[in-house]
Order: sequence, then structure tokens, then C-alpha cells
Amino acid sequence: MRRRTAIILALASLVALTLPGPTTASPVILVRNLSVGCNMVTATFPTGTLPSALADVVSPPTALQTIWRLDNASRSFQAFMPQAPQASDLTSLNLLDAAFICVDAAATIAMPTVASDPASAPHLGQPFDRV
Amino acid sequence: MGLTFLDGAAPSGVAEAITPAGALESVWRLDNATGSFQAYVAAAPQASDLTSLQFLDAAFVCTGGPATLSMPAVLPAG
Repeated sequence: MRRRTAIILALASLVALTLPGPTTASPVILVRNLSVGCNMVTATFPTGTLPSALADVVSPPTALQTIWRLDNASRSFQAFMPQAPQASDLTSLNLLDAAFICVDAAATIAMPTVASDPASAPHLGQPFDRV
Repeated sequence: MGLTFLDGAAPSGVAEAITPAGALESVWRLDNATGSFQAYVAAAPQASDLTSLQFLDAAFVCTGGPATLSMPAVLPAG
């Protein structure tokens, strides 16, 4: 009886291990070229993304020097420097933030793609930002 | 800011999407490949070298006062 129970438990664990987990849609990734210097790029990461996430998607990673974002309300730039994250005042990025991605070598950046919501007509969407 | 107008949109469309009307002064986009800015000046469209926008262009939208810009919403793709 014990042996039968053990076999059943072993089979059950095997099934649990081989069943596919919940499926999550992988985001489609768009790779953009970055020229040496500062590139103006629209970030498509979810709101609240850490700037260090951008550092992780720049290739080669050592090319990234700084990320700058203009705070429209205060009219001041905030920066993230991967070499000195503790001294950086850019602590979070929002979906559709425009940022300067500054690199010291030709590089690429990979970001999730987004598409226009067909439910929102051009020029008639919800107020997006105050400029 | 990141613009969500469709590829090929005329910069004048930005002016039409801004409230109050007439608030738009200029739109500036950096050409990352050349390192030069292109501008659309609402008061002098014929002198503007920014003639077309692309989906997800990042641009400076300059206004003469507080304003709102309405753009198509976006969804994650894929």
C-alpha cells in the first residue's frame, strides 16, 4: 500500500512539473539604434519603471552614460547615471516619457512596443499631458 | 514627451490637438542620426523643417502658456 501511494505521489509530482504554467504574453520588443551622443527616445516601459531597467536593455551595456528627462512642471532635468545611481535624481520612468539616452558608443536599445488604441480617435484621446 | 500620432502625421496636427487653440508655439524633434533638431513653428509653418511626425517620436512641445495636448492612447503590442 505504501509503495502504491509513493508511486501515485511520484506521478502526481511529475504531472505538476510538466504541466504548462499560466501563459503570459511576451511583449514585442522593438530595437532602436542609438548614435554616439544623446538620443531623444520615447520610453515604452510601464509607468514606475526604474531607470536602471533602461541600463539593462542597452547593448553594449557599457555604452550608456546618462539618461535625462525633462520634468515639464518644474522645467528641470532629472538624470540617471549608471556609474553613480546613488547620486541620480531620476528615480522612475513613466510610459511615453521622452528621455535623452546618452551613449559614448554606437548602441541599441530594446523596449516593449506599443500600438495605438483603435478605440481612441486621433486628436480626440483623453488629455494626456500638460505642457 | 512621446507623441502617439500615427506615422506621417503633419506637425500642424499637434496644434489642432492642443487646448487652448493657438497655444502651440513650436515642436522640436531631435534627429538622433544627425544630432540636429528639426522644428515646426506654428507661426511660420512654411519656414519649418519638421514636416512629418512618426509614431512614438519624442519631441519638445513648446506652448505660450499652460495647455493640454490630446493624443491617441496606446496599448501594449503583442
